[in-house]
Amino acid sequence: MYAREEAAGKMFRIVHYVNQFFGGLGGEDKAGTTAQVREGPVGPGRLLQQALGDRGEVVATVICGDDYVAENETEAGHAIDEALETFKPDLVVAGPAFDAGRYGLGCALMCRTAQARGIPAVTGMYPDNAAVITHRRELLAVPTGADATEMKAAVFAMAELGLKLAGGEELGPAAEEGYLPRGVRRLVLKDRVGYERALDMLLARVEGRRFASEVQVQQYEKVPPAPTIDDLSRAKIAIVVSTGIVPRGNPDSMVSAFSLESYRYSIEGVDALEVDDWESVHGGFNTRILNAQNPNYALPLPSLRRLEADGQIGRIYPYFFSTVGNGTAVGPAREIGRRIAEELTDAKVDGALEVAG
Amino acid sequence: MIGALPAIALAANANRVVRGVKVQHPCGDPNLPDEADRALSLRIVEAALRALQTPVTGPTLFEPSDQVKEGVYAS
Repeated sequence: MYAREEAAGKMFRIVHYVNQFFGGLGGEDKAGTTAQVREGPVGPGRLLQQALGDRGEVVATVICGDDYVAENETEAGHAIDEALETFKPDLVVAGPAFDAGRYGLGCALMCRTAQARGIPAVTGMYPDNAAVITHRRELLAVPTGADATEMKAAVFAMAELGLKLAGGEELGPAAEEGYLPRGVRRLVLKDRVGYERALDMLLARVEGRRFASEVQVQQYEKVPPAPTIDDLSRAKIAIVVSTGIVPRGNPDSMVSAFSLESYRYSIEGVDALEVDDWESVHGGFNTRILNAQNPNYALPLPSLRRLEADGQIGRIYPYFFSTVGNGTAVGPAREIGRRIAEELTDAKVDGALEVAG
Repeated sequence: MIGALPAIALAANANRVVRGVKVQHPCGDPNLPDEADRALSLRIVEAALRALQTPVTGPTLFEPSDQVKEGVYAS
């Protein structure tokens, strides 16, 4: 496709978005940082500038704390909008966020705010990033790996895609241009009629050859809701957490991310999790409050015990199941859930309460 | 499930979702005085139990109520 004539030779103004970590402000301890604006490139923005060469200039960087942006969308959105008003970029580049969920949401907000102003925006993230789940249709994202080891490749790919957008080029299909499918369909003419292409696909499938489906169906499995519990006062309720609660010392060496399994721990006779006896090994957020003050924030045992003692719940299952919901891919998560459900079904548990982390 | 970022859970088709407080402390608030913090935790858990007793047809968000309910459950 061709670029617009008036865009040829123009040096595009770019505003880049990064989180507190890549912005050099700190780690999880600075996740509450409100929107900061710096002139010029910061952190990976320097790689971005390198990728752009003389085709573009990173005139400013917006930095937001991961918690701040995930929990204060309206306020953060206003701050971003103001920055865009000040710097009037031709293109916005956000991230790459890889598999970081809150960072991904921040990138998504940056892109959506830019697009609402008519400014093209591009980001980069791992296909399973939570932000892709929530904002698939609105994001133009380069697919990346799960972590920042491929930062350079990701940034360079984002720069190329971004420059095409800034130049007014129309993008081809996701698979050709190298971005995550958005679920948008456009009418095009194919060289052969549908039934011929379908028969080719069928033959390939029957013969065990690879083929590419023309229509990519992306959906999250819909699970029929379980029926209600009629009599809670006689019900057996189990606790499942993905907040990574384990006995202190992590005896089973639960991993802090990309979990493939869950572990079960006894809470028989335990009314509250004591901070000396339990901890969270979740690697995706600051566990200071859980580990220095009160692990029950991630597993509300005292409240459940009170309801059990009052007769509102029949019984709490004597084991809870624990895993870490940090970068857990859908397949492994399903398998973890299936195994837990198997045990709970055998134990005739009526309902489960999960705390997400 | 109780979660501080319910939009994600609902988009991924979790059927009964209760809004938690924050990622770092979903089931309470360390900034509150102890009694109010415990009451908040109880309201969040009660919302979850309410969800278990509520028929739903798809992803549904449940908000913890403003006040602790006493004796609401069927016996």
